[in-house]
Amino acid sequence: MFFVLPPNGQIKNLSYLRMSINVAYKESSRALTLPRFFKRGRPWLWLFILLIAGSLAQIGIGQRELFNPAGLPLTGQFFAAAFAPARDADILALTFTSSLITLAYAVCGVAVSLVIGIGGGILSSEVWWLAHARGASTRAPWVVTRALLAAPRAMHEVIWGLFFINLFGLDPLVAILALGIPFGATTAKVYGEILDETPRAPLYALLHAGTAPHTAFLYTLLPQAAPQLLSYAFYRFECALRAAAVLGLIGAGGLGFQILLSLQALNYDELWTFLYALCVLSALTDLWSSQVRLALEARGAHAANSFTLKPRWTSLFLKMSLLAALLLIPGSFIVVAANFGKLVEPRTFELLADLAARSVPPNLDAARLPKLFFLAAQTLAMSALAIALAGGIGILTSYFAARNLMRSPFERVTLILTRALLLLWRAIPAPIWALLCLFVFFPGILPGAIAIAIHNAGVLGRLMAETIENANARPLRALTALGAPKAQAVLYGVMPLTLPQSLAYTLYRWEVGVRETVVVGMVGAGGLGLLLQEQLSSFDYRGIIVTLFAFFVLTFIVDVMSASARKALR
Amino acid sequence: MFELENVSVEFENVAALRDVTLRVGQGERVVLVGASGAGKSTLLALLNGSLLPTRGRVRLLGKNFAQLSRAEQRATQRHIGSIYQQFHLVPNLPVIHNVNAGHLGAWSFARAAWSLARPSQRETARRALAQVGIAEKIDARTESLSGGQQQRVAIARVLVQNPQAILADEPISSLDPERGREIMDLLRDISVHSARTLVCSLHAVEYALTHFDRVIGLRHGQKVFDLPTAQVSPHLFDALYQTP
Repeated sequence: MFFVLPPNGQIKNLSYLRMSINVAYKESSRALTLPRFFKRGRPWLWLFILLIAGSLAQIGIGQRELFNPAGLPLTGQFFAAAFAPARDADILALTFTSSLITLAYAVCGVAVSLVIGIGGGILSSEVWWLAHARGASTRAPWVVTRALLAAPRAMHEVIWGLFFINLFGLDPLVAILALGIPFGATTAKVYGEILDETPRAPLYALLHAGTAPHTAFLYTLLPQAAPQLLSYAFYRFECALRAAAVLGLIGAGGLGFQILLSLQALNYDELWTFLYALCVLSALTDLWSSQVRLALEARGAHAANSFTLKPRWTSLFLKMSLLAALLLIPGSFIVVAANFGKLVEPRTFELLADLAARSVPPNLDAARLPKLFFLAAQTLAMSALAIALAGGIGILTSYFAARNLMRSPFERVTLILTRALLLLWRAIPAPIWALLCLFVFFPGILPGAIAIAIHNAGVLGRLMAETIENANARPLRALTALGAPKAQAVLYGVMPLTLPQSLAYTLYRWEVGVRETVVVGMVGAGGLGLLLQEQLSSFDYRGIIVTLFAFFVLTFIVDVMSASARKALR
Repeated sequence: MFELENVSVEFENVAALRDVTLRVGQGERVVLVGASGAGKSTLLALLNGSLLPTRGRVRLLGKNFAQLSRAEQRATQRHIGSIYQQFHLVPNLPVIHNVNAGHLGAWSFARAAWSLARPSQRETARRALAQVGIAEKIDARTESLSGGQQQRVAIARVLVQNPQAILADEPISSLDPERGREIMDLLRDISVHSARTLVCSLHAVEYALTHFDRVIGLRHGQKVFDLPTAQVSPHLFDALYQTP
């Protein structure tokens, strides 16, 4: 973890993303040298090249047919419909209610994840346990909590959703828990890290004056960390909206569900109405969330007065946003009308016991292991290829999406178009992209990889553009002043500053990508996801347990690789 | 009030204090002087119970601190207030909550939580702030205050805590000379008016003779002298800061 600690010991860098990605760049000394990645990270570079080569070999380029020309007319119809979406009153009304449902699911999911996140975050922070036990070794409890949180995080929301459908049937509760639990575990991990990075002197001052630890926490670490905790909660809300759309695909309702229905019915004009609605919803939440996060940062760094809004307006905006959030939460729970009673119904426990009984013993049939191993390797290859593509596309597009680089009228138009494209890419869930890719590609890991790549390029392009906008502007100014053409100035004055961070984002996104392989796999793109789909439809629970475990191990491997490669980047 | 018997403190085999014995009575005003690393902060950490000695015995308010239960330790610590060089306030909370933090030893969790929404005992906080001269800052964001004002907030927190003894670890080291004088005057007045014990460590010795009635000199973790202010001569100070 890296933080810029100003002399007064107060944390100014509120960006949890920049924080959790651990990229420290020394602005001046790094200005005109190659990113260190190419020096110390060379083993990693070769490993990635090997992985990509492996995945290309897996796909079997040049050995079998990948491209399906028969799907081209359909693709043509699909894109033609983009210019003529359905606009009749029924569809618009349906679009509106579906959007509300998706939004409500996202809000409820985030609310649940925040409850888990705050509780789990406190319990998995080192400082909580240090504050309770004096002097003695307190390593065990928080290490155990962190380990417990790793398992729910490894499973994609859709897997959670399929699990809960077995318990609760088609109840809105399924989507809320499927969102809340994995998001809660992730939030808990980040919150624990934030709490551990918060200056502890005020906490200890109160503890040494005889205050009980939980009260001391309430008056020191929690308010100190509050801006960062809140900022991350809003970021989670952005993610939850996309996840809520994906959960629609497994029957949770809302926009995702309508998209799937119209895609299956080949109603492309309706489909585009829903897709546009998803884009608008996504754009609005992204905008709200990014403005809140900006305002929180500006408030933390009030002395620096680098912010454009007046402090009074910043404060008002934050208050209104909080109020809106507080109204949205109960409103959403009412709209969704989940049956929370099912959580404690005896029937639920019967089903759970039944499910557990049918899942043991895990089917460890030796004959099936080679296939499992092969599929795991295929999944890893899919994720590596997808993320390499997403990173590459993201880096290329980010320069055209950075406001500080695009100033002339022509460039402004390019900027808007690039941003719109990035929005479309990330607003449409990866499994929908996968279904579209299956029009023109034969099933396999290639369409899956492309689908994940498109969706994540949209996410990464935006993050990387933000990095470029936040980078030290002086090298670029100096190079422009000495008459360097724009492209060269960017190459020497911007890229060296931002590339390490962009690569770090890409690696970080790999962890997300490998989890997404399971959903694109389930719609037919291959890998462990496809196996899981087959096992689910044949109720092979003893096999499912093994597949899930393989998936858990795979996620763990990718997390470790991504984290150590990011460390090499520093 | 405080008793140390043959106390030594070691941090990973580096001795911070060596065989120190001393006793501080009710209402005494004691200053600890010595160079950086002489053991002043370590000694103060023993006195507020945030550190336990490696060897020897520490009695706080007449009780052998190391042998108390956790709850008893906290009850003892509530009667000892501390002020630090870096204030140790929560920067993004309004001043009143930092002052009210002095109540937390006595408040229940629910009451403390409710007070964050609607500050309770506002009048007590206002009086404490008035006593340190910044009553008008009660609702200001703490980080918007100057260093001297923040140290006053920290003192107001101790006033609200209403301890029997006040410990001050280099309270003026991060302030300019004028602010430093004001804070030292304030600490002395508080101690004199309420007959509270004051133990203060100072890096510079200029206030040692004017504001305290007893001076303890530390060097390399050992007590070099322990005299009433009247008997301290300048050459004693010189010896403290000499390099061996």
